[in-house]
Amino acid sequence: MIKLENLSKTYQGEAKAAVYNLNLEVEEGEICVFVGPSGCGKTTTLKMINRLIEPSSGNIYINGVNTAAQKKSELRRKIGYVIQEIGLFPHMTVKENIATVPLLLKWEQKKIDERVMELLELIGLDAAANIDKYPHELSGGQQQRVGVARAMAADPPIMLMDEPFGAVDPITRADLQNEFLRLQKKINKTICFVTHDIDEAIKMGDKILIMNKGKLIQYDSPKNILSKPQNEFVEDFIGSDRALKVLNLIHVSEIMESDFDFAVLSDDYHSLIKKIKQKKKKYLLITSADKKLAGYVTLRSLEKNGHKNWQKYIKAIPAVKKDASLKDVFNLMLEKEFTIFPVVDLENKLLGRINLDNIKNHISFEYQE
Amino acid sequence: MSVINYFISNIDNIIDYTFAHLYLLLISIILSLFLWLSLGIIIRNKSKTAKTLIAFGSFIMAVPSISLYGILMTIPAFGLNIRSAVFALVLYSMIPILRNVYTALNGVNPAIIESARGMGMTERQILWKVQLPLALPVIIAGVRVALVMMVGIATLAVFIGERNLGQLIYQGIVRTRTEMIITGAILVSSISVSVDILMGFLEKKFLSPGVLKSLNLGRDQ
Repeated sequence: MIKLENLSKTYQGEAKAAVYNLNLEVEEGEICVFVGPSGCGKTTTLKMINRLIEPSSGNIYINGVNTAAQKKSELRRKIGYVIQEIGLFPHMTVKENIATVPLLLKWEQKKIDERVMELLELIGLDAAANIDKYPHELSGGQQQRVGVARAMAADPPIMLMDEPFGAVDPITRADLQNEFLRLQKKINKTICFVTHDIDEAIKMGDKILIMNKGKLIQYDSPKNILSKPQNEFVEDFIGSDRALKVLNLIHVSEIMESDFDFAVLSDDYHSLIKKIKQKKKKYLLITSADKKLAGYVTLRSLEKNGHKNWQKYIKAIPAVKKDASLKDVFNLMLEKEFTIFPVVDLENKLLGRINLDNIKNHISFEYQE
Repeated sequence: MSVINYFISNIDNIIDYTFAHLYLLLISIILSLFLWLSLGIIIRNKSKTAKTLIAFGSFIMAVPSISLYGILMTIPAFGLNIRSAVFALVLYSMIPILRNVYTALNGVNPAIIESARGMGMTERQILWKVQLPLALPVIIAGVRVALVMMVGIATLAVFIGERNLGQLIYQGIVRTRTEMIITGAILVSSISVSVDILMGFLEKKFLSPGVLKSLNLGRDQ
Protein backbone atom coordinates (compact mmCIF):
# COMPACT_ATOMS: atom_id res chain seq x y z
CA MET A 1 0.00 0.00 0.00
CA ILE A 2 2.69 2.47 1.03
CA LYS A 3 6.22 1.69 -0.06
CA LEU A 4 9.28 3.72 0.86
CA GLU A 5 12.29 2.98 -1.31
CA ASN A 6 15.84 4.08 -0.43
CA LEU A 7 14.34 7.18 1.12
CA SER A 8 16.80 9.81 2.38
CA LYS A 9 16.49 13.37 3.54
CA THR A 10 19.29 15.77 4.35
CA TYR A 11 18.16 19.22 5.43
CA GLN A 12 19.88 22.16 3.84
CA GLY A 13 22.98 23.23 5.73
CA GLU A 14 23.19 20.02 7.72
CA ALA A 15 25.93 17.44 7.36
CA LYS A 16 24.05 14.44 8.72
CA ALA A 17 21.02 12.96 7.06
CA ALA A 18 17.77 13.26 9.01
CA VAL A 19 16.57 10.07 7.34
CA TYR A 20 19.01 7.69 5.70
CA ASN A 21 18.22 5.05 3.10
CA LEU A 22 14.92 3.92 4.53
CA ASN A 23 13.07 0.98 3.00
CA LEU A 24 9.67 0.11 4.28
CA GLU A 25 6.38 -1.36 3.23
CA VAL A 26 3.15 -0.68 5.06
CA GLU A 27 0.36 -3.17 4.34
CA GLU A 28 -3.19 -2.12 3.61
CA GLY A 29 -5.37 -1.76 6.70
CA GLU A 30 -2.45 -1.77 9.13
CA ILE A 31 -1.42 0.75 11.73
CA CYS A 32 2.32 1.26 11.42
CA VAL A 33 3.78 3.20 14.33
CA PHE A 34 7.01 5.15 13.80
CA VAL A 35 8.77 5.40 17.13
CA GLY A 36 12.16 6.54 18.35
CA PRO A 37 13.91 9.21 20.40
CA SER A 38 13.48 12.82 19.32
CA GLY A 39 15.47 13.69 16.23
CA CYS A 40 15.40 10.10 14.97
CA GLY A 41 13.69 11.12 11.74
CA LYS A 42 10.24 9.68 12.40
CA THR A 43 8.32 12.91 11.77
CA THR A 44 10.47 13.72 8.75
CA THR A 45 9.65 10.29 7.33
CA LEU A 46 5.93 10.82 7.94
CA LYS A 47 5.91 14.24 6.31
CA MET A 48 7.71 12.92 3.25
CA ILE A 49 4.75 10.65 2.60
CA ASN A 50 2.40 13.58 1.95
CA ARG A 51 5.27 15.69 0.64
CA LEU A 52 5.14 18.36 3.32
CA ILE A 53 8.86 17.60 3.22
CA GLU A 54 10.46 16.67 -0.09
CA PRO A 55 12.87 13.70 0.01
CA SER A 56 16.49 14.36 -0.99
CA SER A 57 16.55 10.99 -2.72
CA GLY A 58 14.51 7.83 -2.97
CA ASN A 59 10.90 7.19 -3.86
CA ILE A 60 7.56 6.76 -2.21
CA TYR A 61 4.86 4.69 -3.86
CA ILE A 62 1.23 4.62 -2.85
CA ASN A 63 -0.57 1.71 -4.48
CA GLY A 64 2.31 1.52 -6.89
CA VAL A 65 2.07 5.17 -7.98
CA ASN A 66 5.08 7.37 -7.32
CA THR A 67 3.98 10.31 -5.17
CA ALA A 68 6.52 12.60 -6.82
CA ALA A 69 4.54 12.31 -10.06
CA GLN A 70 1.37 13.74 -8.49
CA LYS A 71 0.36 17.30 -7.75
CA LYS A 72 1.07 17.96 -4.07
CA SER A 73 -2.33 19.38 -3.21
CA GLU A 74 -4.16 16.54 -4.98
CA LEU A 75 -1.97 13.92 -3.32
CA ARG A 76 -2.68 15.39 0.12
CA ARG A 77 -6.44 15.42 -0.37
CA LYS A 78 -6.28 11.65 -0.60
CA ILE A 79 -4.28 11.32 2.63
CA GLY A 80 -5.79 12.18 6.01
CA TYR A 81 -3.49 14.24 8.22
CA VAL A 82 -3.74 14.69 11.99
CA ILE A 83 -1.18 16.57 14.07
CA GLN A 84 -0.56 16.95 17.77
CA GLU A 85 -1.60 20.61 17.83
CA ILE A 86 -4.79 19.55 16.00
CA GLY A 87 -4.80 22.74 13.95
CA LEU A 88 -8.57 23.15 13.76
CA PHE A 89 -9.53 26.40 12.05
CA PRO A 90 -10.69 28.73 14.86
CA HIS A 91 -12.86 30.81 12.52
CA MET A 92 -14.85 27.83 11.29
CA THR A 93 -17.52 25.79 13.01
CA VAL A 94 -17.14 22.09 13.70
CA LYS A 95 -19.14 21.41 10.56
CA GLU A 96 -17.07 23.73 8.38
CA ASN A 97 -13.86 22.28 9.76
CA ILE A 98 -14.90 18.73 8.96
CA ALA A 99 -16.12 19.77 5.51
CA THR A 100 -12.74 21.24 4.53
CA VAL A 101 -11.45 18.51 2.22
CA PRO A 102 -14.89 17.62 0.72
CA LEU A 103 -15.20 21.31 -0.20
CA LEU A 104 -11.76 21.28 -1.78
CA LEU A 105 -12.88 18.25 -3.75
CA LYS A 106 -16.05 20.14 -4.73
CA TRP A 107 -18.54 17.65 -3.36
CA GLU A 108 -22.23 18.52 -3.54
CA GLN A 109 -23.52 20.28 -0.44
CA LYS A 110 -26.01 17.51 0.33
CA LYS A 111 -23.32 14.85 0.25
CA ILE A 112 -21.13 17.00 2.50
CA ASP A 113 -23.94 17.47 5.04
CA GLU A 114 -24.59 13.74 5.17
CA ARG A 115 -20.90 12.94 5.53
CA VAL A 116 -20.48 15.42 8.40
CA MET A 117 -23.38 13.85 10.30
CA GLU A 118 -22.01 10.38 9.67
CA LEU A 119 -18.57 11.36 10.97
CA LEU A 120 -19.91 13.07 14.08
CA GLU A 121 -21.80 9.89 14.85
CA LEU A 122 -18.66 7.82 14.22
CA ILE A 123 -16.52 9.87 16.62
CA GLY A 124 -19.31 9.94 19.20
CA LEU A 125 -19.94 13.68 19.27
CA ASP A 126 -23.55 14.77 19.66
CA ALA A 127 -24.31 16.42 16.33
CA ALA A 128 -27.16 18.69 17.39
CA ALA A 129 -25.21 20.14 20.32
CA ASN A 130 -21.84 20.55 18.64
CA ILE A 131 -22.15 20.98 14.90
CA ASP A 132 -22.30 24.78 15.00
CA LYS A 133 -19.80 25.24 17.80
CA TYR A 134 -16.42 26.86 17.25
CA PRO A 135 -13.28 24.93 18.21
CA HIS A 136 -12.54 27.00 21.33
CA GLU A 137 -15.90 25.94 22.76
CA LEU A 138 -14.85 22.26 22.74
CA SER A 139 -12.71 20.37 25.26
CA GLY A 140 -9.26 19.15 24.26
CA GLY A 141 -10.50 15.61 23.73
CA GLN A 142 -13.45 16.78 21.64
CA GLN A 143 -11.16 18.95 19.53
CA GLN A 144 -8.91 15.98 18.85
CA ARG A 145 -11.93 13.88 17.83
CA VAL A 146 -13.04 16.60 15.43
CA GLY A 147 -9.46 16.70 14.12
CA VAL A 148 -9.65 12.99 13.38
CA ALA A 149 -13.09 13.38 11.78
CA ARG A 150 -11.77 16.20 9.61
CA ALA A 151 -8.88 14.02 8.43
CA MET A 152 -11.30 11.21 7.55
CA ALA A 153 -13.86 13.45 5.87
CA ALA A 154 -13.19 12.51 2.26
CA ASP A 155 -12.65 8.89 3.26
CA PRO A 156 -8.94 8.77 2.37
CA PRO A 157 -7.50 5.25 2.31
CA ILE A 158 -4.41 6.48 4.16
CA MET A 159 -4.06 8.51 7.34
CA LEU A 160 -0.91 10.11 8.70
CA MET A 161 -1.00 10.91 12.40
CA ASP A 162 1.79 12.89 14.06
CA GLU A 163 1.60 12.35 17.83
CA PRO A 164 -2.16 12.82 17.59
CA PHE A 165 -2.85 12.13 21.25
CA GLY A 166 0.25 13.84 22.64
CA ALA A 167 -1.37 17.03 23.87
CA VAL A 168 -4.16 15.65 26.05
CA ASP A 169 -4.13 14.41 29.64
CA PRO A 170 -3.32 10.72 30.24
CA ILE A 171 -6.92 9.66 30.93
CA THR A 172 -8.31 11.36 27.84
CA ARG A 173 -5.40 9.92 25.88
CA ALA A 174 -6.24 6.36 26.90
CA ASP A 175 -9.89 7.01 25.98
CA LEU A 176 -8.95 8.42 22.59
CA GLN A 177 -6.58 5.53 21.92
CA ASN A 178 -9.22 2.92 22.73
CA GLU A 179 -11.82 4.80 20.74
CA PHE A 180 -9.49 5.07 17.79
CA LEU A 181 -8.68 1.37 17.86
CA ARG A 182 -12.41 0.56 17.88
CA LEU A 183 -12.91 3.03 15.04
CA GLN A 184 -10.05 1.51 13.04
CA LYS A 185 -11.78 -1.87 13.19
CA LYS A 186 -14.70 -0.29 11.35
CA ILE A 187 -12.86 1.95 8.90
CA ASN A 188 -9.80 -0.20 8.25
CA LYS A 189 -7.47 2.55 7.04
CA THR A 190 -3.78 2.26 6.35
CA ILE A 191 -2.25 4.40 9.04
CA CYS A 192 1.20 5.77 9.75
CA PHE A 193 1.35 6.96 13.32
CA VAL A 194 4.25 8.85 14.91
CA THR A 195 4.89 8.76 18.63
CA HIS A 196 7.84 8.94 21.01
CA ASP A 197 5.98 6.83 23.57
CA ILE A 198 6.83 3.14 23.25
CA ASP A 199 3.78 2.15 25.29
CA GLU A 200 1.54 3.95 22.84
CA ALA A 201 3.39 2.28 19.97
CA ILE A 202 2.84 -1.17 21.47
CA LYS A 203 -0.80 -0.44 22.12
CA MET A 204 -1.66 1.10 18.76
CA GLY A 205 0.62 -0.63 16.30
CA ASP A 206 0.08 -3.66 14.09
CA LYS A 207 3.68 -3.02 13.15
CA ILE A 208 6.28 -0.88 14.83
CA LEU A 209 9.12 0.87 13.08
CA ILE A 210 11.89 1.74 15.52
CA MET A 211 14.21 4.45 14.25
CA ASN A 212 17.38 6.01 15.56
CA LYS A 213 19.56 8.71 13.99
CA GLY A 214 17.63 8.53 10.74
CA LYS A 215 17.99 4.79 10.29
CA LEU A 216 15.60 1.90 10.54
CA ILE A 217 16.60 -0.24 13.49
CA GLN A 218 13.78 -2.76 13.66
CA TYR A 219 10.47 -3.15 11.84
CA ASP A 220 8.25 -5.84 13.24
CA SER A 221 5.07 -6.66 15.12
CA PRO A 222 4.88 -5.37 18.73
CA LYS A 223 5.04 -8.92 20.03
CA ASN A 224 8.25 -9.72 18.16
CA ILE A 225 9.82 -6.44 19.11
CA LEU A 226 9.15 -7.16 22.76
CA SER A 227 10.21 -10.81 22.64
CA LYS A 228 13.07 -10.50 20.13
CA PRO A 229 14.60 -7.05 20.30
CA GLN A 230 17.12 -6.67 17.49
CA ASN A 231 19.89 -5.05 19.49
CA GLU A 232 20.77 -3.23 22.65
CA PHE A 233 19.28 0.04 21.44
CA VAL A 234 15.87 -1.54 20.99
CA GLU A 235 16.17 -3.29 24.33
CA ASP A 236 17.00 0.00 26.06
CA PHE A 237 14.30 1.82 24.20
CA ILE A 238 11.50 -0.56 25.13
CA GLY A 239 12.73 -0.53 28.71
CA SER A 240 13.50 -3.13 31.34
CA ASP A 241 9.83 -3.87 31.91
CA ARG A 242 9.23 -5.46 28.55
CA ALA A 243 7.76 -8.57 30.12
CA LEU A 244 5.14 -6.33 31.70
CA LYS A 245 4.57 -4.57 28.40
CA VAL A 246 3.67 -7.87 26.80
CA LEU A 247 0.63 -7.77 29.06
CA ASN A 248 -0.59 -4.77 27.09
CA LEU A 249 -0.70 -6.88 23.96
CA ILE A 250 -2.73 -9.79 25.21
CA HIS A 251 -6.46 -9.38 25.37
CA VAL A 252 -8.66 -11.04 27.90
CA SER A 253 -10.71 -12.76 25.21
CA GLU A 254 -7.60 -14.66 24.03
CA ILE A 255 -6.97 -16.48 27.28
CA MET A 256 -10.23 -16.50 29.21
CA GLU A 257 -11.88 -19.80 30.07
CA SER A 258 -15.20 -19.99 28.34
CA ASP A 259 -16.04 -23.42 29.72
CA PHE A 260 -17.19 -22.79 33.27
CA ASP A 261 -20.20 -23.10 35.55
CA PHE A 262 -22.78 -20.52 36.34
CA ALA A 263 -26.38 -20.40 37.48
CA VAL A 264 -29.38 -18.42 36.33
CA LEU A 265 -31.56 -16.19 38.49
CA SER A 266 -34.57 -18.42 37.91
CA ASP A 267 -32.84 -21.59 39.24
CA ASP A 268 -34.36 -22.98 42.42
CA TYR A 269 -32.40 -23.19 45.63
CA HIS A 270 -31.92 -26.94 45.77
CA SER A 271 -30.59 -27.42 42.30
CA LEU A 272 -28.29 -24.46 42.89
CA ILE A 273 -26.82 -26.01 46.05
CA LYS A 274 -26.51 -29.33 44.28
CA LYS A 275 -24.66 -27.73 41.41
CA ILE A 276 -22.19 -26.00 43.70
CA LYS A 277 -21.51 -29.08 45.78
CA GLN A 278 -21.21 -31.36 42.80
CA LYS A 279 -18.45 -29.22 41.36
CA LYS A 280 -16.82 -28.80 44.76
CA LYS A 281 -17.01 -25.04 44.50
CA LYS A 282 -17.37 -22.42 47.14
CA TYR A 283 -19.28 -19.98 44.97
CA LEU A 284 -21.06 -19.62 41.64
CA LEU A 285 -21.60 -16.80 39.13
CA ILE A 286 -25.19 -15.83 38.50
CA THR A 287 -26.67 -14.39 35.31
CA SER A 288 -30.09 -13.26 34.26
CA ALA A 289 -32.08 -15.25 31.71
CA ASP A 290 -30.45 -13.34 28.82
CA LYS A 291 -26.98 -14.16 30.19
CA LYS A 292 -26.34 -10.71 31.64
CA LEU A 293 -24.04 -10.87 34.66
CA ALA A 294 -25.89 -10.41 37.96
CA GLY A 295 -23.17 -11.25 40.51
CA TYR A 296 -22.14 -14.28 42.54
CA VAL A 297 -23.31 -16.30 45.54
CA THR A 298 -21.16 -18.21 48.05
CA LEU A 299 -22.09 -21.60 49.36
CA ARG A 300 -21.60 -20.38 52.90
CA SER A 301 -24.05 -17.53 52.70
CA LEU A 302 -26.59 -19.73 50.95
CA GLU A 303 -26.42 -22.39 53.65
CA LYS A 304 -26.49 -19.86 56.45
CA ASN A 305 -29.48 -17.96 55.14
CA GLY A 306 -31.67 -20.86 54.10
CA HIS A 307 -33.49 -21.39 50.90
CA LYS A 308 -36.01 -18.57 50.70
CA ASN A 309 -35.26 -15.90 48.13
CA TRP A 310 -31.67 -16.93 47.66
CA GLN A 311 -31.44 -14.20 45.00
CA LYS A 312 -31.25 -11.67 47.84
CA TYR A 313 -27.76 -12.91 48.72
CA ILE A 314 -26.21 -12.24 45.35
CA LYS A 315 -23.12 -10.11 45.73
CA ALA A 316 -21.72 -7.78 43.12
CA ILE A 317 -18.46 -8.71 41.43
CA PRO A 318 -16.30 -6.46 39.23
CA ALA A 319 -16.15 -7.70 35.64
CA VAL A 320 -13.61 -7.14 32.88
CA LYS A 321 -14.51 -6.37 29.28
CA LYS A 322 -13.41 -8.90 26.70
CA ASP A 323 -11.20 -6.40 24.86
CA ALA A 324 -9.37 -5.29 28.01
CA SER A 325 -5.67 -6.08 28.16
CA LEU A 326 -4.03 -8.29 30.76
CA LYS A 327 -2.49 -5.15 32.19
CA ASP A 328 -5.99 -3.87 32.92
CA VAL A 329 -6.80 -7.17 34.61
CA PHE A 330 -3.73 -6.93 36.85
CA ASN A 331 -4.69 -3.40 37.72
CA LEU A 332 -8.14 -4.55 38.71
CA MET A 333 -6.75 -7.46 40.72
CA LEU A 334 -4.58 -5.14 42.80
CA GLU A 335 -7.34 -2.59 43.16
CA LYS A 336 -10.26 -4.86 44.04
CA GLU A 337 -8.33 -7.68 45.74
CA PHE A 338 -10.00 -10.35 43.65
CA THR A 339 -7.94 -12.96 41.78
CA ILE A 340 -10.69 -14.07 39.47
CA PHE A 341 -13.00 -12.04 37.30
CA PRO A 342 -15.97 -12.74 35.07
CA VAL A 343 -15.44 -11.58 31.48
CA VAL A 344 -18.30 -9.74 29.79
CA ASP A 345 -18.92 -8.15 26.41
CA LEU A 346 -19.92 -4.53 25.84
CA GLU A 347 -23.54 -5.37 26.77
CA ASN A 348 -22.52 -6.98 30.07
CA LYS A 349 -23.23 -10.49 28.81
CA LEU A 350 -21.15 -13.15 30.53
CA LEU A 351 -18.60 -14.74 28.19
CA GLY A 352 -16.09 -16.43 30.47
CA ARG A 353 -13.78 -15.94 33.36
CA ILE A 354 -10.14 -15.22 33.91
CA ASN A 355 -7.84 -15.80 36.87
CA LEU A 356 -4.21 -15.48 37.82
CA ASP A 357 -3.40 -19.04 36.75
CA ASN A 358 -4.72 -18.43 33.23
CA ILE A 359 -2.41 -15.47 32.89
CA LYS A 360 0.58 -17.28 34.36
CA ASN A 361 0.11 -20.30 32.11
CA HIS A 362 -0.32 -18.17 29.05
CA ILE A 363 2.77 -16.09 29.63
CA SER A 364 5.04 -19.04 30.41
CA PHE A 365 3.65 -20.73 27.31
CA GLU A 366 4.35 -17.65 25.19
CA TYR A 367 7.94 -17.46 26.32
CA GLN A 368 8.63 -21.14 25.79
CA GLU A 369 7.78 -20.75 22.14
CA MET B 1 -24.61 80.89 19.34
CA SER B 2 -22.07 82.53 17.07
CA VAL B 3 -20.99 79.07 15.87
CA ILE B 4 -24.54 78.30 14.73
CA ASN B 5 -24.89 81.70 13.11
CA TYR B 6 -21.60 81.28 11.34
CA PHE B 7 -22.60 77.80 10.24
CA ILE B 8 -25.93 78.97 8.81
CA SER B 9 -24.61 82.04 7.02
CA ASN B 10 -21.67 80.14 5.47
CA ILE B 11 -23.45 76.89 4.76
CA ASP B 12 -22.50 76.86 1.08
CA ASN B 13 -18.79 77.25 1.75
CA ILE B 14 -18.90 74.71 4.54
CA ILE B 15 -20.57 72.14 2.30
CA ASP B 16 -17.92 72.73 -0.36
CA TYR B 17 -15.14 72.34 2.18
CA THR B 18 -16.68 69.16 3.56
CA PHE B 19 -16.99 67.62 0.13
CA ALA B 20 -13.41 68.59 -0.71
CA HIS B 21 -12.30 66.98 2.53
CA LEU B 22 -14.26 63.80 1.88
CA TYR B 23 -13.08 63.66 -1.72
CA LEU B 24 -9.42 63.87 -0.69
CA LEU B 25 -10.01 61.21 1.94
CA LEU B 26 -11.89 58.90 -0.37
CA ILE B 27 -9.17 58.90 -3.02
CA SER B 28 -6.42 58.47 -0.42
CA ILE B 29 -8.25 55.69 1.40
CA ILE B 30 -8.95 53.71 -1.75
CA LEU B 31 -5.34 54.06 -2.89
CA SER B 32 -3.94 53.23 0.58
CA LEU B 33 -6.08 50.16 1.05
CA PHE B 34 -5.32 48.83 -2.39
CA LEU B 35 -1.61 49.58 -2.17
CA TRP B 36 -0.76 48.57 1.39
CA LEU B 37 -3.08 45.58 1.70
CA SER B 38 -1.75 44.02 -1.48
CA LEU B 39 1.84 44.93 -0.67
CA GLY B 40 1.43 43.43 2.80
CA ILE B 41 0.14 40.19 1.27
CA ILE B 42 2.96 40.13 -1.30
CA ILE B 43 5.72 40.58 1.27
CA ARG B 44 4.21 38.19 3.85
CA ASN B 45 6.91 35.58 3.27
CA LYS B 46 9.75 38.01 2.55
CA SER B 47 10.98 39.08 5.94
CA LYS B 48 13.94 41.14 4.68
CA THR B 49 11.86 43.22 2.28
CA ALA B 50 9.19 43.59 4.95
CA LYS B 51 11.67 44.89 7.50
CA THR B 52 13.07 47.44 5.07
CA LEU B 53 9.63 48.68 4.07
CA ILE B 54 8.43 48.89 7.64
CA ALA B 55 11.57 50.84 8.61
CA PHE B 56 10.89 53.23 5.72
CA GLY B 57 7.27 53.64 6.80
CA SER B 58 8.31 54.38 10.38
CA PHE B 59 10.71 57.02 9.09
CA ILE B 60 7.87 58.68 7.14
CA MET B 61 5.75 58.64 10.28
CA ALA B 62 8.50 60.55 12.06
CA VAL B 63 8.47 63.36 9.49
CA PRO B 64 6.08 66.11 10.62
CA SER B 65 3.17 66.23 8.21
CA ILE B 66 3.54 69.93 7.47
CA SER B 67 7.12 69.47 6.33
CA LEU B 68 6.21 66.42 4.27
CA TYR B 69 3.59 68.49 2.45
CA GLY B 70 6.23 71.16 2.00
CA ILE B 71 8.74 68.77 0.52
CA LEU B 72 6.22 67.19 -1.84
CA MET B 73 5.16 70.65 -3.02
CA THR B 74 8.65 71.33 -4.33
CA ILE B 75 8.66 68.19 -6.46
CA PRO B 76 7.61 69.20 -10.02
CA ALA B 77 5.22 66.31 -10.63
CA PHE B 78 3.29 67.06 -7.44
CA GLY B 79 3.37 70.78 -6.70
CA LEU B 80 0.43 72.74 -5.29
CA ASN B 81 -2.00 70.03 -6.19
CA ILE B 82 -4.32 67.44 -4.73
CA ARG B 83 -1.73 64.89 -5.88
CA SER B 84 0.69 66.06 -3.18
CA ALA B 85 -2.01 65.80 -0.54
CA VAL B 86 -3.08 62.31 -1.64
CA PHE B 87 0.50 61.14 -1.82
CA ALA B 88 1.26 62.36 1.69
CA LEU B 89 -1.85 60.73 3.15
CA VAL B 90 -1.11 57.44 1.43
CA LEU B 91 2.45 57.50 2.80
CA TYR B 92 1.21 58.16 6.34
CA SER B 93 -1.20 55.23 6.21
CA MET B 94 1.62 52.88 5.21
CA ILE B 95 2.85 51.94 8.65
CA PRO B 96 -0.41 51.12 10.41
CA ILE B 97 -1.79 49.12 7.49
CA LEU B 98 1.30 47.44 6.02
CA ARG B 99 2.80 46.54 9.38
CA ASN B 100 -0.44 45.09 10.68
CA VAL B 101 -1.07 43.05 7.54
CA TYR B 102 2.46 41.64 7.67
CA THR B 103 2.48 40.86 11.39
CA ALA B 104 -1.05 39.49 11.41
CA LEU B 105 -0.48 37.13 8.48
CA ASN B 106 2.73 35.90 10.07
CA GLY B 107 1.11 35.65 13.48
CA VAL B 108 -1.29 32.88 12.43
CA ASN B 109 -0.51 29.72 14.39
CA PRO B 110 1.89 27.62 12.24
CA ALA B 111 0.07 24.42 13.28
CA ILE B 112 -3.11 25.74 11.64
CA ILE B 113 -1.24 26.52 8.43
CA GLU B 114 0.45 23.13 8.48
CA SER B 115 -2.83 21.28 8.87
CA ALA B 116 -4.33 23.36 6.05
CA ARG B 117 -1.39 22.48 3.81
CA GLY B 118 -1.51 18.86 4.92
CA MET B 119 -5.15 18.62 3.89
CA GLY B 120 -4.29 19.71 0.39
CA MET B 121 -5.07 23.43 0.30
CA THR B 122 -3.02 25.33 -2.26
CA GLU B 123 -0.96 28.30 -1.02
CA ARG B 124 -3.62 30.63 -2.43
CA GLN B 125 -6.42 28.76 -0.63
CA ILE B 126 -4.42 28.88 2.60
CA LEU B 127 -4.11 32.66 2.21
CA TRP B 128 -7.77 33.35 1.45
CA LYS B 129 -9.50 30.69 3.51
CA VAL B 130 -7.27 30.52 6.56
CA GLN B 131 -4.65 33.23 6.97
CA LEU B 132 -6.68 36.29 5.99
CA PRO B 133 -9.82 35.45 8.01
CA LEU B 134 -7.64 34.82 11.06
CA ALA B 135 -5.51 37.94 10.51
CA LEU B 136 -8.53 40.16 9.88
CA PRO B 137 -8.99 41.56 13.42
CA VAL B 138 -5.43 42.90 13.49
CA ILE B 139 -5.65 44.17 9.91
CA ILE B 140 -8.92 45.98 10.61
CA ALA B 141 -7.41 47.53 13.74
CA GLY B 142 -4.55 48.89 11.62
CA VAL B 143 -6.87 50.25 8.94
CA ARG B 144 -8.98 51.88 11.63
CA VAL B 145 -5.99 53.73 13.09
CA ALA B 146 -4.82 54.75 9.61
CA LEU B 147 -8.20 56.14 8.57
CA VAL B 148 -8.77 58.19 11.70
CA MET B 149 -5.26 59.59 11.38
CA MET B 150 -5.81 60.48 7.72
CA VAL B 151 -8.94 62.50 8.54
CA GLY B 152 -6.84 64.68 10.84
CA ILE B 153 -3.79 65.03 8.64
CA ALA B 154 -6.00 65.93 5.67
CA THR B 155 -6.80 69.27 7.38
CA LEU B 156 -3.16 70.31 7.06
CA ALA B 157 -3.35 69.96 3.30
CA VAL B 158 -4.73 73.55 3.25
CA PHE B 159 -1.11 74.68 3.33
CA ILE B 160 -0.55 73.24 -0.11
CA GLY B 161 -3.65 74.69 -1.65
CA GLU B 162 -6.40 72.25 -0.66
CA ARG B 163 -9.64 74.05 0.21
CA ASN B 164 -11.14 71.69 2.75
CA LEU B 165 -12.29 71.81 6.39
CA GLY B 166 -8.71 72.65 7.37
CA GLN B 167 -9.41 76.00 5.70
CA LEU B 168 -11.98 76.87 8.41
CA ILE B 169 -9.51 76.08 11.17
CA TYR B 170 -6.56 77.80 9.50
CA GLN B 171 -8.53 80.94 8.61
CA GLY B 172 -10.09 80.93 12.06
CA ILE B 173 -6.65 81.00 13.64
CA VAL B 174 -5.31 83.69 11.32
CA ARG B 175 -8.37 85.92 11.80
CA THR B 176 -8.93 84.94 15.44
CA ARG B 177 -12.48 83.85 14.64
CA THR B 178 -13.21 81.21 17.31
CA GLU B 179 -16.55 80.22 15.73
CA MET B 180 -14.73 79.25 12.52
CA ILE B 181 -12.20 77.13 14.41
CA ILE B 182 -14.92 75.41 16.39
CA THR B 183 -17.07 74.73 13.32
CA GLY B 184 -14.08 73.20 11.52
CA ALA B 185 -13.01 71.18 14.53
CA ILE B 186 -16.51 69.80 15.11
CA LEU B 187 -16.89 68.73 11.49
CA VAL B 188 -13.45 67.13 11.29
CA SER B 189 -14.02 65.22 14.52
CA SER B 190 -17.47 64.10 13.35
CA ILE B 191 -15.89 62.61 10.24
CA SER B 192 -13.29 60.87 12.41
CA VAL B 193 -15.87 59.45 14.74
CA SER B 194 -18.10 58.32 11.85
CA VAL B 195 -15.19 56.55 10.19
CA ASP B 196 -14.37 54.85 13.49
CA ILE B 197 -17.97 53.75 14.01
CA LEU B 198 -18.20 52.48 10.44
CA MET B 199 -15.04 50.42 10.92
CA GLY B 200 -16.41 48.99 14.17
CA PHE B 201 -19.52 47.95 12.29
CA LEU B 202 -17.53 46.33 9.50
CA GLU B 203 -15.42 44.51 12.06
CA LYS B 204 -18.50 42.94 13.62
CA LYS B 205 -19.96 42.11 10.24
CA PHE B 206 -16.94 40.47 8.68
CA LEU B 207 -15.20 38.74 11.54
CA SER B 208 -16.10 35.13 12.23
CA PRO B 209 -17.78 34.68 15.63
CA GLY B 210 -15.17 31.99 16.27
CA VAL B 211 -12.36 34.52 15.94
CA LEU B 212 -14.21 37.23 17.86
CA LYS B 213 -15.06 34.91 20.72
CA SER B 214 -11.59 33.50 21.01
CA LEU B 215 -10.27 37.09 21.06
CA ASN B 216 -12.65 37.97 23.87
CA LEU B 217 -11.58 34.89 25.78
CA GLY B 218 -7.98 36.01 25.46
CA ARG B 219 -8.88 39.39 26.87
CA ASP B 220 -10.62 37.93 29.91
CA GLN B 221 -7.69 35.80 30.94
